[in-house]
Formats: sequence, structure tokens, C-alpha cells
Amino acid sequence: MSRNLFKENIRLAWDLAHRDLSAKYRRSALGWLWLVLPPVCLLAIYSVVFGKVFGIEWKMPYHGDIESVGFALPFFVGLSVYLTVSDVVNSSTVLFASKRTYVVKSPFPLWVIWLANLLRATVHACVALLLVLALALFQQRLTLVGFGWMTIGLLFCGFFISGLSLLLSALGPFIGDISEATRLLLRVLFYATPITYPLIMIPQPYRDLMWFNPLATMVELLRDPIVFGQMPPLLVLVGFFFSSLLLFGVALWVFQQVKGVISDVV
Amino acid sequence: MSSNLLLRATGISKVYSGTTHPLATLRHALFGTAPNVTDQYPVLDGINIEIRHGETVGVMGGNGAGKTTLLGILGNVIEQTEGKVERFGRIATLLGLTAGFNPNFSGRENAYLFCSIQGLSRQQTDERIADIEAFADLGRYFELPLRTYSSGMQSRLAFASAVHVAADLIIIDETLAVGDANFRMKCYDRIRKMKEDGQTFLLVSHNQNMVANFCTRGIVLDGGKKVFDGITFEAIEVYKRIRTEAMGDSDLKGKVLKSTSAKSMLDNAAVLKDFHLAERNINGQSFGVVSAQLLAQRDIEHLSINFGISNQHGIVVCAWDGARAGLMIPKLNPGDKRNIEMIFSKQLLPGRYFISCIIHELIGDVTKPQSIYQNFLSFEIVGNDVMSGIADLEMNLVMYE
Repeated sequence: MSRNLFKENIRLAWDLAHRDLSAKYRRSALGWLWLVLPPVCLLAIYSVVFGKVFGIEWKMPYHGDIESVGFALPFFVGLSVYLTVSDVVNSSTVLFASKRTYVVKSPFPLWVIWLANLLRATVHACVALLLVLALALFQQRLTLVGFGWMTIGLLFCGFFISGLSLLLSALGPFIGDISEATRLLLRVLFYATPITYPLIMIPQPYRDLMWFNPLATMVELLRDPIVFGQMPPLLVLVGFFFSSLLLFGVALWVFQQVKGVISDVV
Repeated sequence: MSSNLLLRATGISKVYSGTTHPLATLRHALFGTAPNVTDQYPVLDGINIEIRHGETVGVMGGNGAGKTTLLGILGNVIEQTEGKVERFGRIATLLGLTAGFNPNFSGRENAYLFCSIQGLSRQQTDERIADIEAFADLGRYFELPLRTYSSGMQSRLAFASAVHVAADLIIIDETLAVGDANFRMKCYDRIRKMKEDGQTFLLVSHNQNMVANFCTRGIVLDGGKKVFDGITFEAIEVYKRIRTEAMGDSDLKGKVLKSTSAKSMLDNAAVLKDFHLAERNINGQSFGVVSAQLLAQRDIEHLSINFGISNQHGIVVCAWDGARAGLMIPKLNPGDKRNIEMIFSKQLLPGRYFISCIIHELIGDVTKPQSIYQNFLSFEIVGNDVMSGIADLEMNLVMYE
């Protein structure tokens, strides 16, 4: 019974996610093309400005080699991570308020709404991932080892983002400032994170501090394998895993505590 | 006996913390800090309810009595502050019927999502969608976006989807009073049929007639407390009493409770006494006559009397408005007496009927109730069972070769 119910709720989450996505693109002439257009356009603009005008490029940083890998691919990895995180963060903070009718009128558990939002964001993320992989293949950067570490990196990032999303969803209805604050923070983070420039350009000791910026960690966790075919630093992997675990634990606890009163405040 | 129990709620209470900043609610939820006691709004207080298979339970109560909150808690949408709800079966909660409807999707797509929210798989919905389409009877609109629908059409779609959800218990909140008369009739028929097939319902309604017609049991809520739980007819009487009291007229307070004893309290401007029900032949037809004596207690400019008859389901068979009929008793002094007779034709079918009466004082164009005698007299009509219903319309069938 409870197992069935669980499966049913997963199915419902997917239905809701699908509904959200098709509702978004249904009335537009270009339709599902909008899944692809924003990352591609941003890639084009930033490649011209930062790649061509400022001449920023990535070099193989870990070996003596100084082979250039250009701007587009490493930037695109960072951009995709950034777009995914900002999509999840911005939608999570207002999640239960924007789905108020589900929260106060419908009998399914609240985590279904959270999962639906996560699934919706995952669809966007997968489109970005496919574009990144296509570009990596085109530039002949993708290796089998890189692909393996990328998969692990993706799992880690997914875990962290899920926890972050759960925490923000749970706190959002109670703290009105949170959505404004995260919006501002994300803007700052776009430039405070090595997305449009290589990590190596940051002078020490600030460079090591970057590992405390989860967005930078996630970018590097995926950039290393996809662009350079390398395993990310072990310490970073382990550290990130345990911080994600901690975040998820805290998020789960908060969510359990507040889920009963969310319908009272939205 | 307990095997057919579908739902048991014990000691359900719900407290909303009114204007408190959401942060205070958060602190309370996270760390259990004491909430601001002055800012607590208890909505439900110690409700116990059991619902068994095959019952149709109607919940009545004025605005703010806690009906919707109770249904929300029973349906697992809202979390109770205290108490326990045990569910023994699948429960479909249809609080806001149009919840989850998206204006840019067609009726068909919205029906699919509705069923999905109510726990039906795609496949199960596939099996039902034709029935839903037929029941909603929206024609080509079924394939058009919801934004092109009128509000009546939306509710038709919602109701059609709702009654096709398979659940052991269906919880519906004030949703039947929508749509046109034809569709409402169809809804009632459908509910009746489902009831006969053993479907269990929990309905919330302001409509006494509906409760009288459908429910096997009535629950009355007042101020967050369950004040009555029992047979429908009595529940309706209790609800009516609460509603009349809540009209806020101090002259009325507490009197209606005693109405059935045909006595009224002092300091009414005018009271009735010495009721007597008799039968009288007028022009060869049998009429019922209630005679009474009207006694004025103080100076009254104008006075009018309304009276009416209702059946055992609380349905008003006929009511007569004295002021509108232009029949007023002018200028009474304290101690003045008038003999009055309320006359009605007895074209009624077998059953029990109740007579009620209200005395109004007319001041300008305002009518102010002075005394209420609710169901103060009852009488039984006996006869054959050729016809059933309320009114004897002298039906017959004529055949020709």
C-alpha cells in the first residue's frame, strides 16, 4: 500500500512537472525551442565579449602543458551549472506560495510539489547537459575517463541542489526576504564564481577560498572531467559530498518540522 | 462493526496563529518556542467523528464554523494542531474543485491532471475519460482551452471529473451549488446512484434541502465545536436554530430554542397563545386551520405574521408572507388581543408536516422579528401511497383506445 502510494506520488510529481513545462511553452510560437535558445544565446554573447574582446581562455592547468582549450566549452559548463542553480533557487523560494492551490486544497504530500519542481529543473539541466556534451564532442575534448567523473560530479551536484532546494522551499513561505536576497546573491555569484574566467586567474589566497563557494565547487567538479578529462581534486570531492549530506540532513529536518504549518502561512 | 470503519478522527483541534509574523510560526515549528497566546485563533476544538462505509454524512454550520478546516484535516490537506485521524481506505478530497486547473489547457487535459492529483494512473484515467466527457456534456468545448469556458462550464468539468474518481470516501466541499438547474439535477442523480452503489460521501453544504435529500447523517458545527451528530432531520433543525440565533438580533436570542414548546419569552412586542389546530370545510374542500390568540405587550404601530409549512426533511412546502400579502394588523396598545386563524389547503401527500410562524413588527419599511414559533405544531397526513412526494397534484393517467 505505502509502496504503491509512493510510486503514485512519484508519478504525480512527474505529471505536475510535465504540466508546468508544457504550460510554459504552449502559448509561444517557438515552443520547446525555448528550452535550447537561452543557453545557446548566452553562450554566443559571452563567447564574443569575454572570449574574443577580453581574450579570456582556458589552458590545461594541471600539467606542464599549456595547450589552450579556448573559451566556449569551459564557459558553457560553468554557465549551465549557474543557470540550473539559479533556476532551482529562484523557483524554490516561492514554490509553495506559487502552488498555493495545491498546498491548501489538494491531498497529496508537499514533497511531491518539491519533487515536481526539481524534475522540471532537471529537464532544463538535461537539455543544457546535452548541449555541453555535443560541444565537447565537437571539440574532441570528451574522454571516457572524463565522462565517468562527470557522471559522478553530476550525481554530487544533483544531491547538493536537491538539498538546497528543499531547504529554500521549506523556509521560503516564512521568510519573505529570502527570494529577494537569493536573487541578489545569485547575481553577485555569477561574477564572484569562476564562470566567465578560469579559477587560476584568481590570486591566492582567495583561490583556495573558492572551495567554500558551492557554486564554484560544482562548476569545477564538472569542468575538470568534461573539459580536461580529469578527476577533480579528491579533497574537494569528499568535502563536497559531506557538505551536501549535511545540507540535505538539515533541509530534511527543517522540512519535517514546518511541513504541517506551511498551509497556514502561504 | 469496526471493519467497515473508513475514518476515525479523535479530538481534532486546529489553532491558527492569526496576525503573527510568519517568522514566529517558523520559530515555533523549528524550536518549539511558545507562541503568542493572545494571537491564537482556535478554529476547531476537540472534534470526534467516525465515518463508516455506506454513509452519506452532511456537515453544516455557519460561515467560520470550521467546516472547511475540518474537511481539510479529514482529507489530509491541512495538518491538525491536536488529535489523531485514522484512515482506512482511499479518500478523495475535492475541496476546491478547480484546484490545479490551468486555463491554457483543454478540458480533456485538465481532466487528466485532476485525476492524476486524485491518485489515478494514466491508464485508469484513460478508462474513465469517455465517461467524464459524456457526463460533463461540454460538446466541442471539451477540446478547447479552459479560458474559453464560462464559470458554470468549469464547474461541470470539475464535477464530472470528481465523481469519476474511485475512492472509498469522497469528501466534497460546497461545490454542488453551481452550474445550471439541469446540470445540478444530473449531479444529484449521480450522487444518489453512487450512494445506492454503496459509495460513502462526506458533504459540506449550506443547502439544507440537499442535506435533507442525500444525507443519512448530519453533523452541525458551531464555533469550532461539534454541537450535533445524528439523524439528518434533527441536524437540520439544530442548524436552523444556530443560524437564526446568529442573526444578531438581541430580541431573538434564546427564544427559538423554546419555540417547539409553543411558548415565547416575555418582552416580545406581541406573542401568540392558545394554539389550536382544526379541520374545516370551506366550499366542500378540507382546510387546516390554526387558531391562536395574539397578545400585544406594548404599543405597536404595525404588525404582520408570516407562517409556513415544512416537511420532515426540512423542505419548505409553502410559506406565506403577511407583509407582502398586504395583511397587517395596525395600531395595537398593550394588552390588546386579536384572534387570528392561519388557513391552508391540505393538498399534501402522506407524511409528517410542521408549522412555523414569525411575528414581525413593521417600522417604516423595516420588518423586525418579534417572536418566532418554529415547528410549534405538527400534523400527520395519512393516505394511500399511490403518489409520493410533497404536494397532491391530483395526478392521474387516462387511457384511450
